Amino acid sequence: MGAERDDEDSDALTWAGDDERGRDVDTGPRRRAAKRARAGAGVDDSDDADAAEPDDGAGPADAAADALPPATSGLTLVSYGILAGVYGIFTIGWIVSVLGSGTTLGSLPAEIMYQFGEFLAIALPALWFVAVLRLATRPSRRLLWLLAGIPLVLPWPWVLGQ
Amino acid sequence: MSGEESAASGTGARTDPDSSGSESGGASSRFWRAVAVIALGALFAYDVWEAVSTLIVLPQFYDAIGLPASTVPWWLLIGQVAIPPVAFAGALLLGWRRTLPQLILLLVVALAVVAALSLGAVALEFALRPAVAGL
Repeated sequence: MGAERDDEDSDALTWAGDDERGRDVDTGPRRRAAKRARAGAGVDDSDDADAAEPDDGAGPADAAADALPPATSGLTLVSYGILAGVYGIFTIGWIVSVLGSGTTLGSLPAEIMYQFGEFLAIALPALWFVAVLRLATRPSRRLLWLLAGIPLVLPWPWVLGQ
Repeated sequence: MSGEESAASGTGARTDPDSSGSESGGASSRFWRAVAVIALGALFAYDVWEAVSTLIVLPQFYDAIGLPASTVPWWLLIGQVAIPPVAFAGALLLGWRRTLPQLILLLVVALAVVAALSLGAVALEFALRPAVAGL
Protein backbone atom coordinates (compact mmCIF):
# COMPACT_ATOMS: atom_id res chain seq x y z
CA MET A 1 0.00 0.00 0.00
CA GLY A 2 2.75 2.42 1.00
CA ALA A 3 4.84 1.32 -1.95
CA GLU A 4 1.93 1.88 -4.30
CA ARG A 5 1.48 5.39 -3.05
CA ASP A 6 5.19 6.00 -3.65
CA ASP A 7 4.78 4.85 -7.23
CA GLU A 8 1.90 7.25 -7.71
CA ASP A 9 4.07 9.98 -6.25
CA SER A 10 6.83 9.25 -8.73
CA ASP A 11 4.31 9.26 -11.58
CA ALA A 12 3.26 12.72 -10.52
CA LEU A 13 6.90 13.84 -10.50
CA THR A 14 7.66 12.51 -13.98
CA TRP A 15 7.61 14.88 -16.91
CA ALA A 16 6.09 13.66 -20.13
CA GLY A 17 8.87 13.31 -22.68
CA ASP A 18 11.59 12.64 -20.14
CA ASP A 19 12.41 9.31 -21.73
CA GLU A 20 12.65 10.95 -25.15
CA ARG A 21 15.39 13.16 -23.80
CA GLY A 22 17.13 10.14 -22.38
CA ARG A 23 16.65 11.27 -18.82
CA ASP A 24 16.34 9.08 -15.81
CA VAL A 25 12.61 8.96 -15.17
CA ASP A 26 12.91 6.79 -12.10
CA THR A 27 12.33 9.60 -9.65
CA GLY A 28 10.89 7.36 -6.93
CA PRO A 29 14.08 6.03 -5.33
CA ARG A 30 15.81 9.33 -5.83
CA ARG A 31 13.01 11.16 -4.11
CA ARG A 32 13.04 8.66 -1.30
CA ALA A 33 16.81 8.90 -0.98
CA ALA A 34 16.57 12.66 -0.80
CA LYS A 35 13.91 12.39 1.88
CA ARG A 36 16.07 9.96 3.83
CA ALA A 37 19.02 12.29 3.61
CA ARG A 38 16.95 15.19 4.86
CA ALA A 39 15.70 13.09 7.73
CA GLY A 40 19.33 12.50 8.68
CA ALA A 41 19.22 8.80 7.84
CA GLY A 42 22.35 9.00 5.68
CA VAL A 43 22.93 9.01 1.96
CA ASP A 44 23.27 5.82 0.00
CA ASP A 45 25.46 5.18 -3.03
CA SER A 46 22.77 5.95 -5.57
CA ASP A 47 23.08 9.60 -4.71
CA ASP A 48 26.70 9.61 -5.85
CA ALA A 49 25.47 8.54 -9.25
CA ASP A 50 23.00 11.42 -9.17
CA ALA A 51 25.80 13.81 -8.35
CA ALA A 52 27.59 12.73 -11.51
CA GLU A 53 24.78 13.86 -13.80
CA PRO A 54 24.18 17.57 -13.37
CA ASP A 55 22.04 17.70 -16.55
CA ASP A 56 18.95 16.56 -14.75
CA GLY A 57 15.64 18.25 -15.25
CA ALA A 58 14.65 20.98 -12.87
CA GLY A 59 12.04 19.03 -10.88
CA PRO A 60 13.85 15.82 -9.92
CA ALA A 61 17.18 17.62 -9.72
CA ASP A 62 15.91 19.96 -7.05
CA ALA A 63 14.87 17.01 -4.94
CA ALA A 64 18.24 15.34 -5.46
CA ALA A 65 20.12 18.58 -4.88
CA ASP A 66 18.85 18.70 -1.32
CA ALA A 67 20.81 15.55 -0.62
CA LEU A 68 23.98 16.80 -2.29
CA PRO A 69 26.75 19.06 -1.09
CA PRO A 70 25.78 22.65 -1.95
CA ALA A 71 28.07 22.79 -4.99
CA THR A 72 25.49 23.75 -7.60
CA SER A 73 22.73 26.23 -6.98
CA GLY A 74 19.11 25.53 -7.87
CA LEU A 75 19.12 28.35 -10.42
CA THR A 76 22.12 26.83 -12.16
CA LEU A 77 20.44 23.43 -12.31
CA VAL A 78 17.30 25.01 -13.74
CA SER A 79 19.47 26.72 -16.38
CA TYR A 80 21.12 23.40 -17.24
CA GLY A 81 17.65 21.86 -17.52
CA ILE A 82 16.39 24.58 -19.86
CA LEU A 83 19.52 24.38 -22.00
CA ALA A 84 19.26 20.57 -22.07
CA GLY A 85 15.74 21.01 -23.42
CA VAL A 86 16.94 23.47 -26.07
CA TYR A 87 19.76 21.12 -27.08
CA GLY A 88 17.24 18.25 -27.19
CA ILE A 89 15.09 20.24 -29.62
CA PHE A 90 18.21 20.87 -31.74
CA THR A 91 18.81 17.11 -31.88
CA ILE A 92 15.25 16.59 -33.11
CA GLY A 93 15.82 19.35 -35.67
CA TRP A 94 18.94 17.62 -36.98
CA ILE A 95 17.15 14.27 -37.19
CA VAL A 96 14.23 15.82 -39.12
CA SER A 97 16.62 17.66 -41.41
CA VAL A 98 18.79 14.61 -42.12
CA LEU A 99 15.79 12.33 -42.71
CA GLY A 100 14.33 14.90 -45.09
CA SER A 101 17.48 15.39 -47.14
CA GLY A 102 17.68 13.34 -50.30
CA THR A 103 21.31 14.14 -51.05
CA THR A 104 23.22 11.29 -52.64
CA LEU A 105 26.77 11.54 -53.85
CA GLY A 106 28.39 9.84 -56.79
CA SER A 107 31.08 7.70 -55.23
CA LEU A 108 30.76 5.31 -52.32
CA PRO A 109 33.58 6.83 -50.18
CA ALA A 110 32.09 10.30 -50.62
CA GLU A 111 28.66 8.95 -49.68
CA ILE A 112 30.07 7.24 -46.56
CA MET A 113 31.81 10.43 -45.44
CA TYR A 114 28.67 12.49 -46.10
CA GLN A 115 26.51 10.16 -44.03
CA PHE A 116 29.17 10.12 -41.31
CA GLY A 117 28.91 13.91 -41.31
CA GLU A 118 25.13 13.69 -40.98
CA PHE A 119 25.55 11.29 -38.06
CA LEU A 120 28.00 13.67 -36.38
CA ALA A 121 25.57 16.56 -36.87
CA ILE A 122 22.78 14.61 -35.15
CA ALA A 123 25.13 13.70 -32.31
CA LEU A 124 26.56 17.22 -32.03
CA PRO A 125 24.11 18.81 -29.53
CA ALA A 126 24.50 15.89 -27.11
CA LEU A 127 28.27 15.78 -27.67
CA TRP A 128 28.62 19.52 -26.99
CA PHE A 129 26.47 19.30 -23.86
CA VAL A 130 28.37 16.34 -22.42
CA ALA A 131 31.73 17.84 -23.31
CA VAL A 132 30.89 21.12 -21.56
CA LEU A 133 29.67 19.38 -18.42
CA ARG A 134 32.71 17.08 -18.35
CA LEU A 135 35.43 19.57 -19.23
CA ALA A 136 34.28 22.83 -17.66
CA THR A 137 34.07 22.86 -13.88
CA ARG A 138 32.78 26.28 -12.86
CA PRO A 139 29.01 26.71 -13.38
CA SER A 140 29.49 30.15 -14.94
CA ARG A 141 31.93 28.72 -17.48
CA ARG A 142 29.56 25.86 -18.25
CA LEU A 143 26.64 28.20 -18.88
CA LEU A 144 28.85 30.41 -21.04
CA TRP A 145 29.99 27.46 -23.17
CA LEU A 146 26.45 26.09 -23.44
CA LEU A 147 25.19 29.49 -24.61
CA ALA A 148 28.16 29.97 -26.95
CA GLY A 149 27.44 26.57 -28.47
CA ILE A 150 23.89 27.41 -29.53
CA PRO A 151 24.76 29.00 -32.91
CA LEU A 152 27.25 26.20 -33.59
CA VAL A 153 24.96 23.25 -32.83
CA LEU A 154 21.80 24.89 -34.22
CA PRO A 155 20.34 22.75 -37.06
CA TRP A 156 20.76 25.43 -39.73
CA PRO A 157 19.27 23.32 -42.57
CA TRP A 158 16.15 22.92 -40.42
CA VAL A 159 16.05 26.62 -39.51
CA LEU A 160 16.47 27.58 -43.17
CA GLY A 161 13.58 25.32 -44.06
CA GLN A 162 15.42 22.54 -45.85
CA MET B 1 45.54 18.42 -46.99
CA SER B 2 49.15 17.53 -46.26
CA GLY B 3 49.62 21.02 -44.92
CA GLU B 4 46.92 20.32 -42.38
CA GLU B 5 48.63 17.17 -41.18
CA SER B 6 52.07 18.72 -41.04
CA ALA B 7 50.55 21.56 -39.04
CA ALA B 8 49.24 18.98 -36.60
CA SER B 9 52.55 17.22 -36.15
CA GLY B 10 54.29 20.58 -36.01
CA THR B 11 52.15 21.59 -33.07
CA GLY B 12 52.88 18.29 -31.41
CA ALA B 13 56.62 18.70 -31.78
CA ARG B 14 56.48 22.21 -30.40
CA THR B 15 54.48 21.49 -27.26
CA ASP B 16 55.81 18.01 -26.44
CA PRO B 17 58.59 19.17 -24.09
CA ASP B 18 56.03 21.19 -22.12
CA SER B 19 53.51 18.40 -21.77
CA SER B 20 56.05 15.73 -20.81
CA GLY B 21 56.41 17.33 -17.40
CA SER B 22 52.74 16.97 -16.50
CA GLU B 23 52.12 13.65 -18.24
CA SER B 24 52.79 10.54 -16.21
CA GLY B 25 52.72 8.23 -19.24
CA GLY B 26 55.81 9.77 -20.82
CA ALA B 27 56.80 8.70 -24.33
CA SER B 28 54.01 6.17 -24.90
CA SER B 29 51.33 8.66 -23.87
CA ARG B 30 52.87 11.21 -26.21
CA PHE B 31 52.77 8.59 -28.96
CA TRP B 32 49.03 7.96 -28.48
CA ARG B 33 48.31 11.68 -28.36
CA ALA B 34 50.10 12.05 -31.68
CA VAL B 35 48.16 9.09 -33.12
CA ALA B 36 44.83 10.61 -32.01
CA VAL B 37 45.70 14.07 -33.32
CA ILE B 38 46.92 12.75 -36.69
CA ALA B 39 44.01 10.29 -37.15
CA LEU B 40 41.34 12.87 -36.32
CA GLY B 41 43.34 15.56 -38.12
CA ALA B 42 43.02 13.48 -41.30
CA LEU B 43 39.22 13.73 -41.01
CA PHE B 44 39.50 17.52 -40.65
CA ALA B 45 41.76 17.50 -43.69
CA TYR B 46 39.08 15.60 -45.61
CA ASP B 47 36.61 18.36 -44.72
CA VAL B 48 39.03 20.95 -46.09
CA TRP B 49 39.35 18.88 -49.27
CA GLU B 50 35.55 18.75 -49.64
CA ALA B 51 35.23 22.50 -49.07
CA VAL B 52 37.96 23.20 -51.64
CA SER B 53 36.20 21.04 -54.24
CA THR B 54 32.96 22.92 -53.57
CA LEU B 55 34.88 26.19 -53.95
CA ILE B 56 36.03 25.04 -57.39
CA VAL B 57 32.88 23.29 -58.62
CA LEU B 58 30.11 25.62 -57.43
CA PRO B 59 31.13 28.67 -59.53
CA GLN B 60 31.26 26.36 -62.58
CA PHE B 61 27.80 25.05 -61.69
CA TYR B 62 26.46 28.61 -61.36
CA ASP B 63 27.92 29.39 -64.78
CA ALA B 64 26.37 26.23 -66.26
CA ILE B 65 22.87 27.08 -65.06
CA GLY B 66 23.17 30.64 -66.30
CA LEU B 67 23.68 32.53 -63.05
CA PRO B 68 26.01 35.55 -63.23
CA ALA B 69 29.38 35.23 -61.47
CA SER B 70 28.41 38.07 -59.13
CA THR B 71 25.83 35.81 -57.45
CA VAL B 72 28.44 33.25 -56.33
CA PRO B 73 28.56 33.43 -52.48
CA TRP B 74 32.36 33.61 -52.22
CA TRP B 75 32.32 34.53 -48.52
CA LEU B 76 30.43 31.33 -47.79
CA LEU B 77 32.69 29.13 -49.92
CA ILE B 78 35.87 30.59 -48.42
CA GLY B 79 34.40 30.38 -44.93
CA GLN B 80 33.71 26.69 -45.50
CA VAL B 81 37.39 26.13 -46.30
CA ALA B 82 38.46 28.08 -43.21
CA ILE B 83 36.15 26.37 -40.70
CA PRO B 84 37.91 22.96 -40.37
CA PRO B 85 41.41 24.35 -39.62
CA VAL B 86 39.95 26.87 -37.16
CA ALA B 87 37.95 24.17 -35.36
CA PHE B 88 40.95 21.81 -35.33
CA ALA B 89 43.24 24.50 -33.91
CA GLY B 90 40.61 25.45 -31.33
CA ALA B 91 40.23 21.87 -30.13
CA LEU B 92 44.01 21.46 -29.93
CA LEU B 93 44.38 24.71 -27.98
CA LEU B 94 41.68 23.74 -25.48
CA GLY B 95 42.71 20.10 -25.23
CA TRP B 96 46.46 19.97 -25.42
CA ARG B 97 46.99 20.30 -21.67
CA ARG B 98 44.20 17.88 -20.87
CA THR B 99 44.17 14.09 -20.69
CA LEU B 100 44.07 11.97 -23.84
CA PRO B 101 40.35 11.04 -23.58
CA GLN B 102 39.49 14.71 -23.04
CA LEU B 103 41.62 15.73 -26.02
CA ILE B 104 39.87 13.11 -28.17
CA LEU B 105 36.45 14.30 -26.95
CA LEU B 106 37.31 17.89 -27.89
CA LEU B 107 38.55 16.85 -31.33
CA VAL B 108 35.40 14.77 -31.97
CA VAL B 109 33.18 17.67 -30.86
CA ALA B 110 35.11 20.01 -33.16
CA LEU B 111 34.74 17.52 -36.02
CA ALA B 112 30.98 17.37 -35.40
CA VAL B 113 30.82 21.18 -35.37
CA VAL B 114 32.56 21.21 -38.76
CA ALA B 115 30.13 18.59 -40.11
CA ALA B 116 27.11 20.53 -38.85
CA LEU B 117 28.34 23.88 -40.16
CA SER B 118 29.11 22.30 -43.55
CA LEU B 119 25.54 21.02 -43.81
CA GLY B 120 24.38 24.47 -42.72
CA ALA B 121 26.54 26.13 -45.38
CA VAL B 122 25.07 23.89 -48.08
CA ALA B 123 21.55 24.80 -46.94
CA LEU B 124 22.44 28.51 -46.77
CA GLU B 125 23.93 28.45 -50.27
CA PHE B 126 20.73 26.85 -51.56
CA ALA B 127 18.59 29.41 -49.73
CA LEU B 128 20.64 32.32 -51.13
CA ARG B 129 20.81 30.99 -54.66
CA PRO B 130 18.71 33.16 -57.00
CA ALA B 131 15.82 31.38 -58.64
CA VAL B 132 16.54 30.21 -62.16
CA ALA B 133 13.76 29.66 -64.65
CA GLY B 134 13.38 25.98 -65.46
CA LEU B 135 15.22 24.71 -62.38
